Amino acid sequence: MNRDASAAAGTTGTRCTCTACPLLCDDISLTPAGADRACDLGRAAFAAALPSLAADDASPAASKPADAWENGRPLSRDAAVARAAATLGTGRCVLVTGLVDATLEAIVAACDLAETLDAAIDAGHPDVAAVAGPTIARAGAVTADWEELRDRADLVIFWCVDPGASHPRFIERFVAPPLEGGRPRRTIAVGAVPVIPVATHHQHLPLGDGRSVELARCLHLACTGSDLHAGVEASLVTACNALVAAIRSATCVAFVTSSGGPVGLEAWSIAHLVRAIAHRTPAFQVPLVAAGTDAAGAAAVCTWRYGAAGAISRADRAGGRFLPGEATAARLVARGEVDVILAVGRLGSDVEQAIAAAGPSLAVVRIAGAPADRGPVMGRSIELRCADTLLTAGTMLRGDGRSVAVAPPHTSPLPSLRDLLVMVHQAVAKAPPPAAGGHP
Amino acid sequence: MSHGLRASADGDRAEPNRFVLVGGTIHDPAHGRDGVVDDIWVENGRIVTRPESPQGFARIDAGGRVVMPGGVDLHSHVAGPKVAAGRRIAPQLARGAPAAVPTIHATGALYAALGYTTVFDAAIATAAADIAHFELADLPILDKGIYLLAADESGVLAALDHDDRPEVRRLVAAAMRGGRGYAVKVANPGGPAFWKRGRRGDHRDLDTPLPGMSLTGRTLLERLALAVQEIGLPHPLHVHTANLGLPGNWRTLLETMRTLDGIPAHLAHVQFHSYSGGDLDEGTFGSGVAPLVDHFNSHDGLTLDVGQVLFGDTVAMTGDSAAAEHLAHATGVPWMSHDLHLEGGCGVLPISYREKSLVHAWQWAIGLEWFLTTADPWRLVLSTDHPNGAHFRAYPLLMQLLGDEAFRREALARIHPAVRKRSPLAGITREYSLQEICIVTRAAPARIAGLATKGHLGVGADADITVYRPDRDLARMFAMPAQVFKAGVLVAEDGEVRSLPAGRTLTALAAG
Repeated sequence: MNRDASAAAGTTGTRCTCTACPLLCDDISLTPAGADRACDLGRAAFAAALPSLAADDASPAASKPADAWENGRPLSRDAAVARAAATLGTGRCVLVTGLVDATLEAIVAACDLAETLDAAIDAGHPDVAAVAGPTIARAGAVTADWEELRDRADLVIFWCVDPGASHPRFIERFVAPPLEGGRPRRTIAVGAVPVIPVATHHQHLPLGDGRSVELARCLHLACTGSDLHAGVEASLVTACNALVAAIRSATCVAFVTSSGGPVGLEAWSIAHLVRAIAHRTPAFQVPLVAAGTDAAGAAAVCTWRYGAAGAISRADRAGGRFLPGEATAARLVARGEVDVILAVGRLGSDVEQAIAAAGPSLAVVRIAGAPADRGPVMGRSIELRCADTLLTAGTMLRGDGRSVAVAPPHTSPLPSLRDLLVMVHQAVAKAPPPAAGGHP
Repeated sequence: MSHGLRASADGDRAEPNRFVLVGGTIHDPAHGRDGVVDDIWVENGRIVTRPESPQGFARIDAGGRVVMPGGVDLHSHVAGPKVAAGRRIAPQLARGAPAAVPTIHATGALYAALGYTTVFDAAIATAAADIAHFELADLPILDKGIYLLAADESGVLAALDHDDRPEVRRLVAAAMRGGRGYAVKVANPGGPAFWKRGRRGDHRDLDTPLPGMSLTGRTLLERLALAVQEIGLPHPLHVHTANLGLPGNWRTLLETMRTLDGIPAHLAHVQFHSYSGGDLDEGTFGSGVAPLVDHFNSHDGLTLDVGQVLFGDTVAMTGDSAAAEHLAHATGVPWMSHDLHLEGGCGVLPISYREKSLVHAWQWAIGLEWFLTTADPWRLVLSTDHPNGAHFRAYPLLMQLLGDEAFRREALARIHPAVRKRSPLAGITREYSLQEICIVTRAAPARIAGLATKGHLGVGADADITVYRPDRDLARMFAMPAQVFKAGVLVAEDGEVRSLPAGRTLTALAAG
């Protein structure tokens, strides 16, 4: 429990870290009235986590809520661990996925288990796969810590992104604070939404869906002194001219972007644009990846273990094979190439859809902070409930890669995700090898 | 050649904690042993005196074999965010065997199979120290340490600017403790301040004040090197000076050496800082080594590593963002850069060194010129600045280039003709002896790093020992040691990893 409250937070609450989104806000003060400073997303997460903690704490042992299930029926944790180990250990082809809401310690434990199982490993979120994907290999990326935007960028361009949805306090923490010396900061929103109310310092340049690549390429040409083609649509020329003028008068330009779509063309065009500007003026991109709290941590651990952030066909520390076109979680499931899935925390919607479509041939072992919203159980399913990430101490990487020591407000009576992964791993290691030809 | 990266099925057998290597030909420059046939006694991971009774010591026959201390890589890049970026930026190079930037596990296994047992990552931002240590916990076998880019931190810069020596010492020591660092590195002194303020291209010397400060690159170097000395770190300030990779930058390196006159300092990857020629004029590009070596040879307080370039595909990575941007812009290759809050940043890009490229051939020749004209091998360390100049797996090739003049001549004949003609390399006949190779790969880096128990085979040393089969083909000899022991445990044998013990993290100051 962390009661380093008052001085910094100015309240008497418990100082803690919010793990509801990749911002990992560490200025939250938990009081009886709620989570002070938290956004709606954070408040909802605390509101969900803390009552369950109270129930787990208060219930007599005999009536404690279940924390393990097999095919939807409660069973003891020990039995579930054994069943999970048996299922994983006899799988013909196992996939370890999820990861993006876990601490680095838990991700490392999941990787250890994946290696023992010779499993494929992929976080299952296209946004995470993108960091290992074609954009970086073709163009690279010019990025910065979020505080660099806050302290240096006198021009912030929101490029077809609305941080309020995925990173609710991003603008409050990193865009709204004034620049040093009272210098003005100008902001421009390119895309369908204005992001913040239009004012003298903020401009909205509406842009239709699917036009961002075209605008980025036009802007790239304009910024490098080339003429735009005569056939370019007038609205794009107008937007381009406004952006060029703003960029030329800025001393530091930040492009806040989404991760840029599954194809990669948008990310590629922005990466080229930013590096071209950065050759003359300080400029960087701030990609806001919406997948999970610790997507950066999952990418980091997988990269140092296997050489790529995801889409690893076999977890092999000597250098896994990175197969982005073949070994993403959704593709492996959709093609029927895995028979057992270990879901570490929440899964992306496309993986959940693929699992649902796969039907009874697939066994799923889930370890998560909250029971899954189960439909009818298809095939074999083992679920283990671990401590909520809000109640788990550990290390996470913020979306920009900075490490954050996660301070929970309370300690959960439930084992952490890492601890459960280690328990399952130990059980897998103890299990006798399967008989020849014996599959579950 | 086969380099199994996992321990083989019978490889995890327990090593005796007491053994004797019998009858090896010992190269132990720290104790003046140059090809002396002797035994090495090992107990509990350390080298011990010959016991009164040899009972209980397993005998391992090293007759006819060359025995050296385990290799110490004083300047490499193996972990942390920029290395991660290096793994991602060139997936085509990850398909090689080994990858241009191996996984952390493969890094440990490959180093060990090569006879190296200690490695330092030479550039970790203080903000990245935690995650780097997290990653290094997965590095098997090797003892490891990190150099912190402490001078990039804004508070340290401000204290340096005010020449507040107690405050500089306090902040640097705190960073070293908090980040569990082994040494302090400066990459392009003051460069991040120029980079972030957008004053591109005007940081061409050591005497331009940093934006908003009176501090210059020169005063920064001088004050920081003094602070490192006063704190009492085991390794002096590790200096990557300004203007890396630019024609004419030999003058900057010479001025750096003059600035540090009388203050202990280590000059990193000097090859990348030893170019003659006019600004951005490839035609005038050449070697500026001669005056630098003259100065270096006569100033004992300085040490260096070379950062040799060897031909092939690799990934460049540096804490010098401006240098990376310059190279990426010039070549048009993918480029990754990240600016850290209140610190510097990094730049990463793939690079392909070609024999027929004028610039690359010069880089190759310049590195060798440093090796072959520096008088005292005890002040010089073999490195490729892995992976910047080449993969560490290329070290055996570099050793052959140094130790076999005929082989070197053949290699010289293949490079760009203008370099063949103008480089002094053709006239240099020096060949490194095994003893000298042992010095620049073990004894000198350990001594320069301040590692009292490494780089030698004396009593009390860590039992980090490499046993080679002697071979006139030095590349073959050094590529596959017969046996490698780490703290007395057999970790590699004939290119196969036999066990994967965890190494230690080397830190300079106790956490406080």
